[in-house]
Amino acid sequence: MSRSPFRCAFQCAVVLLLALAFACPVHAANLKMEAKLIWGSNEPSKDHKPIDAALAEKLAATFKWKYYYIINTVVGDIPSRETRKLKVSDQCTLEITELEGPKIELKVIGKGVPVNKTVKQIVKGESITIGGDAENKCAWFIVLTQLE
Amino acid sequence: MKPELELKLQAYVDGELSAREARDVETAIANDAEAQGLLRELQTTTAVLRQNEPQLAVPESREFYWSKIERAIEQTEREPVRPLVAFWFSLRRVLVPAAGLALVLFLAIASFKVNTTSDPLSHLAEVESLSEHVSSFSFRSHSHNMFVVWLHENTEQQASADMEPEFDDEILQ
Repeated sequence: MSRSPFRCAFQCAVVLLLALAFACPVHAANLKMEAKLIWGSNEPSKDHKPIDAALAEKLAATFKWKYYYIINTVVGDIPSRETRKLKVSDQCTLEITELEGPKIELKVIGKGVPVNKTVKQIVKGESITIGGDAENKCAWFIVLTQLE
Repeated sequence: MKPELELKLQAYVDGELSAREARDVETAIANDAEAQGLLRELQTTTAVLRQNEPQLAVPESREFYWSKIERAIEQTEREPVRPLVAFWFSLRRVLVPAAGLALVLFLAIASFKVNTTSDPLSHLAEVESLSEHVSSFSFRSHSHNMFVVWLHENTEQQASADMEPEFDDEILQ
């Protein structure tokens, strides 16, 4: 009934590795962020593609506009403690910095001029929506979501 | 004859007396015929016993007996473990991986809980306007898990009127 010491050591090593893998959270991981530029309107448009139903329902429940169309989608990797720019349109750029926390600093640059800065902790499943009024009683939205 | 002398004679025959005691015994028995007779009897008995003690020789060699003992020890070691001990050994074979699995599951659940535990301050945010022409306000929709920053030009006061926040929405700034 004697067991090989190598086998026992191997089993212990596997258990220890698994335990460490679960116990130690991954620190300072890269962020994969998706930014969707959305146009909100009360008039239906055949020229634009509607956003997915789940996001449309969320936006419609919060804002007054009935129709939401996707204008552009940008995905970017933000390395730990670094800054990356995501150009969502010709006039609007997002500057995202991964901070300790984990938090992100989100800078909105409109027509080359920084207009807003938001620092917020990243919460799994939560989206950050930046919006503003547009012409003809419409609105623009940038919905920022963490993909990974 | 005195018993003390009998005992002395016995010791004398066995060579257990000192030289002086031996001389005393010899002096004592020189004129005692009974004591001399007992001495001779004791000496004869001792000589007979010494000469006729049986010498028993073992037919097999020492190695032969040791090999038998060794075989018996090996046989004992090979004997199957008793049922109760076997049960505990078999149980241990199941319990060790089960305990490892339980540990891994516990750590996984603990890690998951740590990662998903909602920090009450996690929804707080710092929102800052970087342009004097643009103002902002923010709120969080609990029901839709959405944090909103609404930007509007300072000249327009219409934006806030356009919003339809829900009752559970929390205005943070």
